[in-house]
Amino acid sequence: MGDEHMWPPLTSRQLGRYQRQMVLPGVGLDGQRRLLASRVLVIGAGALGSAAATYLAAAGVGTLGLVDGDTVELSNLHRQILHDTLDVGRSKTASGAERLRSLNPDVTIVEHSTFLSSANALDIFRDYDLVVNGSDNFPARYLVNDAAVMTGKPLVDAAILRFEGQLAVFRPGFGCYRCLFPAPPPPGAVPDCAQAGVFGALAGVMGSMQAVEALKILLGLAADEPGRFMIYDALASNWYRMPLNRDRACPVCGEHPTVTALIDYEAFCGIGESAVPAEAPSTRAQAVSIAEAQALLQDPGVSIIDVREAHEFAAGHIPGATNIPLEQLDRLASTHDPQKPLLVVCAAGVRSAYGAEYLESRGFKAWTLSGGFSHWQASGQDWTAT
Amino acid sequence: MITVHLPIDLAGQFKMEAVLNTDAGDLRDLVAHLDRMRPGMAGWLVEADGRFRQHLSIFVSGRRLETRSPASGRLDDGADVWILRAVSGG
Repeated sequence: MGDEHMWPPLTSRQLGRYQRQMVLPGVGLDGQRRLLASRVLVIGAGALGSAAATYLAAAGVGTLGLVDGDTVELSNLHRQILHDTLDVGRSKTASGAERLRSLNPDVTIVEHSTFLSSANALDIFRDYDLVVNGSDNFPARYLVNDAAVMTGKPLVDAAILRFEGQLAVFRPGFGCYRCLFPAPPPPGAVPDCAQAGVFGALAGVMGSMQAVEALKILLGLAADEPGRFMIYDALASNWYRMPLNRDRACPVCGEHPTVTALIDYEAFCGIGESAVPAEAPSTRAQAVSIAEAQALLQDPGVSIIDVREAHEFAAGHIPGATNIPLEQLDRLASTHDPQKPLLVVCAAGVRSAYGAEYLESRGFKAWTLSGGFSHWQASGQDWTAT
Repeated sequence: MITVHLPIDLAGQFKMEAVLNTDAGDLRDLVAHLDRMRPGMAGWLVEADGRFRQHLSIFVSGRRLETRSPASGRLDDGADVWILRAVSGG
């Protein structure tokens, strides 16, 4: 946002437009000028980005960058309020920019119609004062965090799933995303919105909160507060607040950082071709490949136990498998002959690893199918639906 | 009495409430209690070496435990335990 002498004077129209914001203590004429000189980068023109960008534009943040390489899909529209039915198929940045320009012509919208990557993140971040993260996957979340730390930008991060929202404010020097979550969950352990669903209005709450926190930082309000982490439980209508401190051992913002350049975040998160297979969970159960599983199944004494939910099982499973959801495995432990070995299967090999470990601890011989049913299906093996 | 907040998606997976009360005296008791309620849950929380899994963030009465802390620390009566893991939806 630069020095005060760089802040633009307000026109009479702007005096009228922002009048009820400028009367707030701590904002005033200079605060509004400061906002108009500010530059905020919004990662993702999706659910969170829609709400955050809308309020930032309405507040008169002078430059808003939108980063998204996706196009609008029909299934986005229940929560991504920057886009409407006629925008299906358009680039999200084009659709979002059009809406935001219409909302407030004072704001310059910069379209970054690309996916953020280790190759472009630092260059893009350098042009902005603050970053709002509304990305929708773990590799992007760690990339955004690391790039924000490396460029010294405040980061307002949020994430949503089902009826829960998480919001964190990271100011340079007061901790980062990795101080809170040093490692991502094992691939497949935490469902995404496509699998688990998301309450549309929750995105509005959390994205609006991101705008609130971003505007506070830009205006210098509550500037003495260090970072903070908040959880919103929409079903219980409760907010919970946790302290957030810098981890001195953090590999990115700690005292002796070991990550000093952007890395391969897909690999870090155990996703993609370059990922280390079965990076986690590190359970005591033995993981087997599809070929090894087929060899095991030559023995008719081996039973296949599918620990997914009934609706997942019904959609497709290995022929001959028995569906016993994870939380019911103790039933199997009390009824199944422990001399008979088990091949445990789930969607991606995470739940089955935990399930097989549990069964091993109860005296069974249990293997977990690496990659799960999705891998089985993708490799062209027989499967059936009920 | 201890109040425990589980990751909502994990609680849903095990068909249990995300907020529970227990009289566990330490974290080991707490994990054992959860595992008795839902056999197999301990494996989701704790590694074979008895430490919390690396991707979990554990807060006890407002203080974040170090990453991969031993699941054994004492819990005072009235303690509030949060077991958190990141979500990624946006």
